[in-house]
Amino acid sequence: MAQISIGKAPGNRAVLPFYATGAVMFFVLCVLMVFSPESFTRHYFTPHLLTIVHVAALGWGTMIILGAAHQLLPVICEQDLYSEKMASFVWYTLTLGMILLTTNFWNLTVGWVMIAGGSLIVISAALYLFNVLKTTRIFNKYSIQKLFLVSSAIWLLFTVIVGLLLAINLKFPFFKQSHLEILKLHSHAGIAGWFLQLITGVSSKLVPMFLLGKSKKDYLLNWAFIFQNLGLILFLVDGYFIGVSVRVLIYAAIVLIGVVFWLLYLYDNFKNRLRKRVELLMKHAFLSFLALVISILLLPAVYFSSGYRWTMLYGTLLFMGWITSIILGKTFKTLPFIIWNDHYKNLSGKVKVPLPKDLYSEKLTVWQFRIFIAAFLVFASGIILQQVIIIRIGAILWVAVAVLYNVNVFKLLLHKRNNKS
Amino acid sequence: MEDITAKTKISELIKANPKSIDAIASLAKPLEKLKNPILRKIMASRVTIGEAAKMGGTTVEEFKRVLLPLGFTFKQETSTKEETISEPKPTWLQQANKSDIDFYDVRPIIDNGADPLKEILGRFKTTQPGKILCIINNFVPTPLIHLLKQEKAEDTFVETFSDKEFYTYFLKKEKEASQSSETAEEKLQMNDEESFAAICSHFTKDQTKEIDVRELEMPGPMQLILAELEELPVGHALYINHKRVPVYLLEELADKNYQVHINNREEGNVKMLIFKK
Repeated sequence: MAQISIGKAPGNRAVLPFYATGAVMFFVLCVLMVFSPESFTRHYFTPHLLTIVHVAALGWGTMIILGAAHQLLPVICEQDLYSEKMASFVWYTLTLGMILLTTNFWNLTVGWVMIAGGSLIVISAALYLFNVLKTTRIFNKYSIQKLFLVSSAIWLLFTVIVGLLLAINLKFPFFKQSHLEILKLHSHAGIAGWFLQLITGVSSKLVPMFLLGKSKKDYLLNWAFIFQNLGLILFLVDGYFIGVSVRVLIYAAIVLIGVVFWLLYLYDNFKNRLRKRVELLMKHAFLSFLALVISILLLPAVYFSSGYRWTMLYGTLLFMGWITSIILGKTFKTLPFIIWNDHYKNLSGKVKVPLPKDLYSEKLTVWQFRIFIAAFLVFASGIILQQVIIIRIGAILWVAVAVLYNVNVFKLLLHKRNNKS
Repeated sequence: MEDITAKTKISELIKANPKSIDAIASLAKPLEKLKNPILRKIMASRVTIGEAAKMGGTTVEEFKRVLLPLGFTFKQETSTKEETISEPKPTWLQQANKSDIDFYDVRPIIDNGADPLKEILGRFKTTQPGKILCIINNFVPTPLIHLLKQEKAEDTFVETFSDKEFYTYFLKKEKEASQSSETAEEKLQMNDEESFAAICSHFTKDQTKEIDVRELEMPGPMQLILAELEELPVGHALYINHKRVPVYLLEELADKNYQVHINNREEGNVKMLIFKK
């Protein structure tokens, strides 16, 4: 009995503020797209698009992921979260930093406020990495999932440090390379380092739990780790010292191999699953992975074509397809359980209690899924056709998705225990 | 695992020596199904040697004959009586009118070399609640009995006409609709130690299987619990020592009409009792 490490769930303050803020920022993101659809027909380095991308990456993606990570680290590592205080402190620095940064991007007000915002985000990433290292105790007990958690946290820190340097560079130019070249490195460290590796690590632990299936092919994950990192590191080194060239396609192919290894692992779980019902989460996950694979396959078009449509489609596939879809699905596989635990786990007596899935509206998630597909297709068509009006209609649909998502998230967050029984 | 008895599961044989697939398949036509990996999955984990012998219309002796060369040794059961005592018909079958029973002869399908499982399940779906489906077959469809008993059949009964003709009756559950409309709240209960003990006392020691999943790494606990529930006889309960409330499992169990009682004693020490109504 004494040998068992419990890995108890962290307190709500380390988790729930992230979900609440992430949901609100998703709504803000969609509203911004309605107001600035022309951003998607221009060069990628414009103030409005910079704002939109950072609201998506920091306010939406990173915010929810950090909340979920704080919740799941104890589950994955069978260890209590090293520091709950630190975890909840990260919310303050990340939220404040994100607000300072994105508001100053909107009109590209370079200077100390923007730099302060970037610094706060660097602090958040550093604290998170420290918490991850301490919680995983990867040096005592290794697992491939822990390795992904650690590597992704390192990449997050790397990404935001480069981001901070870029913010400084806007005010006090010091980079010898072009600002836009460094921007490419920064964004891809975030995409292939932070988001990809975190999603790979967490999903390889959670998917077996959701599907009640298990794969014995852990070696696939080892290869996924090697290829994802190899492709990214080669890209960064080559891009920084020599310059971004056609060789990026080779690096993209290497990362793609890493992605395929990971997806093969998930497929193996799916094949061996006991839970036969294909749930919404799986559909969302499937679309998410599809968007990721298409986006990587799109890279030659991004590289060789002139104009901005393929670059914009690439970014849309990544942020609105891949990351958004996985979060929309996974939220209702994590948050209801957190709320349930909070309200019902410690009840005793002879109390009849609801199931986690009774705490939110499943019907709404079905509509959320349908409108998500419509929003994505209309929005992507608008980008391919470079028609502002279609992009705007797509963005309005995105707002509808965000509203449904928020209704459900806040329904969960504001859940009141029924004390009738 | 080289000692086997008539109660040994076929899947254990295959695990110990994959050659047993061909050996068993050589015994009788119905047993050739084992060669098909999908059917093997369905059958092997649910059927014992004794049951397989009945299905194939052969004897445990025959199994012995082909398995001994593969290095298995048969342990004598205390009672090697073949279970051919004909049980009396259950009342639900005695009181049933002929019109309440849907007779379905699957022998032609099997003779064509196809697996009738899909057709049978489809047919059982259309069977009215409280009515009976009768499968006529040339062996006892043990896996099917297990499968339907877990889900939709209230009770089953096998009538033996000859060693080539078996009538298997499946009574469809009466209250499908009212059972699934039962709110989740009635399937999941948080108990204190006292009320939990009261629930546990409904089952005798023999009817309770206790497992401890505290040492297992995720998702091991869930897999073990589900595997144990598969095997759990009707009227028995599974008692689980867990270190946390397995939230992901709760919905899966509610869907399958299990009653779940949870007694969360302290952090890291959770007791659960699961049984079917």
